[in-house]
Amino acid sequence: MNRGMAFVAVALIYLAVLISLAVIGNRKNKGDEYQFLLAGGSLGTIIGFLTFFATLYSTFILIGMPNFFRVHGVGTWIFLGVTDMALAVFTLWLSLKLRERIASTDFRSISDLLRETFSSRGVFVYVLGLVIFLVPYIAIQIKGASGILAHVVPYEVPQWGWAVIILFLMYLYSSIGGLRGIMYCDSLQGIVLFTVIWIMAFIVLDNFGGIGKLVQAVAEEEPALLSTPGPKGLLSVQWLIAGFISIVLLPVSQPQLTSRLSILKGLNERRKIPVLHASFTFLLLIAGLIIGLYGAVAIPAKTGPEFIGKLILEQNPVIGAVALIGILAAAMSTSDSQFFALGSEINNALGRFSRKLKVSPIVFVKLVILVFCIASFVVAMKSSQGIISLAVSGFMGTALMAPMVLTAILCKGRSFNSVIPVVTVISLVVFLLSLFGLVPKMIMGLRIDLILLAINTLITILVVLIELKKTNKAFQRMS
Amino acid sequence: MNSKNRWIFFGVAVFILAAVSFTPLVIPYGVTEPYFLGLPRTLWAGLGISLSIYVLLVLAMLTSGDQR
Repeated sequence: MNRGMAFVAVALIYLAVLISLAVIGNRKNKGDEYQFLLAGGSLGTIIGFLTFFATLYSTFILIGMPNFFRVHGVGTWIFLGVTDMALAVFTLWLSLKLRERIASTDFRSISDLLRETFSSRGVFVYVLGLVIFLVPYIAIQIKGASGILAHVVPYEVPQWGWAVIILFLMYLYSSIGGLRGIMYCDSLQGIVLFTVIWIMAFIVLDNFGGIGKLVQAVAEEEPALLSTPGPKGLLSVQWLIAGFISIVLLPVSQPQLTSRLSILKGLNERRKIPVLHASFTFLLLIAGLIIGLYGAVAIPAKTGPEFIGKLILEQNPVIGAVALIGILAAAMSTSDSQFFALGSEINNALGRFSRKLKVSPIVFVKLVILVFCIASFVVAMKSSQGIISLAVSGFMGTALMAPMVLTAILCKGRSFNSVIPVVTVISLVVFLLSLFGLVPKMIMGLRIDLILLAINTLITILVVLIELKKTNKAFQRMS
Repeated sequence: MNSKNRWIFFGVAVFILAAVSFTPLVIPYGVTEPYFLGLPRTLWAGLGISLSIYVLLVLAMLTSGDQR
């Protein structure tokens, strides 16, 4: 079987399963708004774990992560391995806190919690931050995945054509199956992603005869890869700390993750999913380490997509085809959830705007997703250096909103004035200005994102403590 | 130990382990020695810290059951 035929065969099987899962999701939804937007609010362990896993790990994990090991060496383990284990602990704590927060409330989205705590100003800041940082992030993923497909698939489909195919497929199954359909498709995509990366890692290990020999070969070829800060000097202590904070805070700063944790069925799901996630993440990162170190000694390439493209071309046609589908899956599994979360949050942020327009919320969310698909396509095809900076710094950008969102989750039944949303919006604006070079990226030897997050967190804690003191005084007076 | 204190313990323990991973103990500038099981220092130390946090996660999971 040649490469073209193998790709078409695997792609057709994959598409058939994807659409079938979306249709199953659609049937279970029975046209109900709550089912469509929140999958009925009762997510089980297996689907919950797979959707969380696939949504968190975008194309970065299949293309970026092995390439990071290839270019920056073993210090990448500190950036991803240590960080992801800490993320799992934070996820466990957060999901238990979310359970307490949303118990006996009609939970629809994070915007609702923010509105309760900060009125509509908090919601406005939150949605604005999401749109600014998530759209470029999605666009860059689509660009990366479509670039590899255009380069490796032996048919004359241009990059923009692949971008349209990815976005169309995503829109199709999202609008058919709603959140439930997305989570079913994510589960499939999570399995494909994990399988693909381990198949490639096994082949590499088989070629080299073990990880020890691989490390030996790296020591001879590029010894700087075996220590920090790596050959390019990127993995400095401050860089690693900034990466650690922005990744650990993802479950609270990215709505697609927070909403999944919010709709888990019960306590058992909340306890098991972080552990399952950490276990599979550990294995995934080991595979990425193996592939990356192999790339360092055997695959010269200028970029991540070029490296993965060459690696795929080394495989036999069927494995290569599965790997390409894995890239497609990775691009879609994060973006679909981000689009859907944006649609839900915008609908709720506008005070269930769909009702005012006399349009069903389902139709409204589908429309919002369509608009963001088109916007992402335009941004992906026209991406400038500024857009790339926004995408790369997207996690830190959304992390700046984490103190505000955490306050909304932890302070049930309390309302705050505008100080926290105002501080959040100022920190977002300063951070954006630094990305575009209008404000220095370093102040007194410290990264500006770390300074902003520290100030933001300190002010938030201060405001919360003052509010608690006020409430206690009022309570004492009353009694 | 009640739930709040338990979580303080787990939070502080994870924080200390993560903080150690940013020190020269784990990421000494340009140093690969000593090797352990054929792996350079940053890698085996990083793997060790990740596994330690994983153990804490499992303990946190096991002890959070009594919230039922």
